[in-house]
Amino acid sequence: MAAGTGEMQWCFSQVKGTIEEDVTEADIISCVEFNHDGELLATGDKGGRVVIFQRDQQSSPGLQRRGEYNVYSTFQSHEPEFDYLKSLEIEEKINKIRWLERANPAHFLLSTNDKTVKLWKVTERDRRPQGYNLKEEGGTTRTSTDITTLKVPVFKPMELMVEASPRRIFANAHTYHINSISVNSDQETYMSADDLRINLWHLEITDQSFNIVDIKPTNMEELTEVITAAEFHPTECNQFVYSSSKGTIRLCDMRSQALCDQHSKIFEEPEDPTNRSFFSEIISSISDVKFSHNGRYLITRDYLSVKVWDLHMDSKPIETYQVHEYLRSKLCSLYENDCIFDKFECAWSGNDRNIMTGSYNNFFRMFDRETKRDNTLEASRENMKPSTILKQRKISTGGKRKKDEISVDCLDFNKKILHTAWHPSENIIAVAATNNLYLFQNKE
Amino acid sequence: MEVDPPQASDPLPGARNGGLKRCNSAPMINLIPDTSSSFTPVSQPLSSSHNATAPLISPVSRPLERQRTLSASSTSLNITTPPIRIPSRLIQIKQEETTNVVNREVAHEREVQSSMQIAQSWDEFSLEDSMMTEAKRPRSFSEQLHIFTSPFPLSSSPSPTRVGKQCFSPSAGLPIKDHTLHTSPTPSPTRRSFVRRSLSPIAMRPNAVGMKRKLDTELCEYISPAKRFNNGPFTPERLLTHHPLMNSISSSSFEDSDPNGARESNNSSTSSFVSNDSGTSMTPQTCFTFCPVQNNRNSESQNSEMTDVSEPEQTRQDDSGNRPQKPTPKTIFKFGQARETQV
Repeated sequence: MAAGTGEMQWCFSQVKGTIEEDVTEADIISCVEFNHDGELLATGDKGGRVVIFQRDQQSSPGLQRRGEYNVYSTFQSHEPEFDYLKSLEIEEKINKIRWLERANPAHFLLSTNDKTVKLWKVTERDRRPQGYNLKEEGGTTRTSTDITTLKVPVFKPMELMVEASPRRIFANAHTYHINSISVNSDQETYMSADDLRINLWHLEITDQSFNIVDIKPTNMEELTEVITAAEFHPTECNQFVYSSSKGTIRLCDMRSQALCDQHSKIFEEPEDPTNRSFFSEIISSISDVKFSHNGRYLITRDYLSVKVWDLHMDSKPIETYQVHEYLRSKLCSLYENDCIFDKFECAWSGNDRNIMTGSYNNFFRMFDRETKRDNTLEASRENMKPSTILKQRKISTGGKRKKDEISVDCLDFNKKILHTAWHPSENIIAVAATNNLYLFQNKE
Repeated sequence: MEVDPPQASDPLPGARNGGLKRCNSAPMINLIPDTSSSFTPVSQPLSSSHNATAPLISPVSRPLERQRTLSASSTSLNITTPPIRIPSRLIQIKQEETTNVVNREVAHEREVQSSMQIAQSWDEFSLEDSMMTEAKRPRSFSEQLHIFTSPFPLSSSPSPTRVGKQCFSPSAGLPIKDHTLHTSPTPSPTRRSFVRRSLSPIAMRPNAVGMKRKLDTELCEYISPAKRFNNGPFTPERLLTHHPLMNSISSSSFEDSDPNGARESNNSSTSSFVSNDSGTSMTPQTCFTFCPVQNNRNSESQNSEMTDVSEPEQTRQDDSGNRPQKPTPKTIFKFGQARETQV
């Protein structure tokens, strides 16, 4: 830690993935999520696979844990489907992964694509029975004349095997594309949100779900906004928020009504008239919303900024951080190449003091809420030296470009960091850069 | 009919442009103000040149699919209309919902008609007579028609999920397929699937009705879902081999006394999986990797431009009537055997 100010100095820890000129579309990472104690890190990709990394469990008491993440399990979560009725393809891309809190030696996670949520159980097996009477070790049957004695099979240790099995499949509840899932603090229910509806499920029941939000108008011509993200409150099991494409966040309380179409609170910032443009509404669309760990605050990510909201104040955010303001003048070309519709995620640090979000050119941004300092770092294989603090990157907008700066026009808009995750208690971050996963640690 | 936004010239393609388009049943026609009612066949093959996991469509085409194929090979396409995109979900949904069902049906019919015209006109493009005869695939009267519904009936949902556990060995870095080691040799009476035992062609299923349709999917855990038309990169194969995220470079490797740079640690090894990081040697008894059958289906299916919707998964007769190469008896799948005896 730098002189006790609490400022972060990030070092490269690991990178997962291959260097390829042509990235296979199926390898593009589409979500990243730590579990509740940070021992496991799950990633989902466009090919419908989930890869789980586990932190190294070397015990070095007193020393700073090296704590590298290695592959623990991988499985195919979703397969491509075809909807015969509408002649549509359903992508197998994993949109979200959410872990359940651990209640027994197994790990559970929910993964979802556009239409179906699945509950997966991940278990370890490190011993197997040996010494059967009727079969040889290889599986062939023993001839009955060879069997002269009876023995009881015993469990012998074996190489660790991690098994993933689907335990529940929650399907057929969404007409539109599921964009979020969120597990309730009661660990028994969860919600899934698509563009117009939010459903509440019980983890044990797969053939029914409650619809708790429905913003579909009777006349579709009147449709003005869609739901973009939704999350349960971390401790209050009756509250949740959902964000919209118009830049509003609605807090709902399930105790008030069965159908929470009427919000309890709406968080909306009045628009700044000076910045109004043709693209104002598009860039105000919220792509991600996250509660702080203490449940008091929210962060929302729209195209150009991250805003911190206090749940007690709905008139305006308490803090606004500009992610890449230099893109405001480029909105037209970003609209042309569809980048303006990119959905970036945001993350809190474990102590709710820092916020992180991604940008283009494999840059990601960190904001310290206390010191109000911000940092731009790059996820690149060029900075892989150990214990080297990542250099801050600067983008030059004006005519004069300083030595280390990169000009806006040189930014690579294909290298976007949409998915990031922060370890729940330590300062370790996982950053997904297309098909590579970077892990950075705070230097201590 | 020119319906598409420019693709090839775009220097900064968004993720959306070349990639798989999401469910969008709205025909692009509605977005174009000056829609012409006549269809001129677009000069491009019906089979998707897109090498992603786009399903290979038969004459039943979809406006979405068309859009995707066009965007993949748009070099010949003359783009005159302004770029029309619907990346915003709001607009997409509005389109889908407000389109009159009748209009949508009519438009869909037109699509089908035009694509059939294209498919038929493509036959006339061959340069030599010999190519002509080979290009025409015999119609499938002699082949059995297979209609696959949900291949995984265990769960009542339509979402295909592999039956049973997917096992992975962290030290070897490869998914493990052989279950005889790890499951009890006497299967539980409540289990529906059967352990691979003898290669008897006699049907093992008690339910004769379900036999033809289900095709022992429970035994073949890596059979890809039947709904797949395309034979692009199969998900089973992708998983069976080394997942790209298993390639790892750590900063700790720089700190070791290895001066030659990064020690790239692969959780899996490419040749044999005996070597691993922990250095424990594997006894032969535990080396039961299930080597996947070299799938002929990839190369087979790509030959044909018009694959039947009901194409069976593994074995398929090609035009000359020769069977594709049979896998070795050890790794043969159950239903492969069954097919042989049927014919």
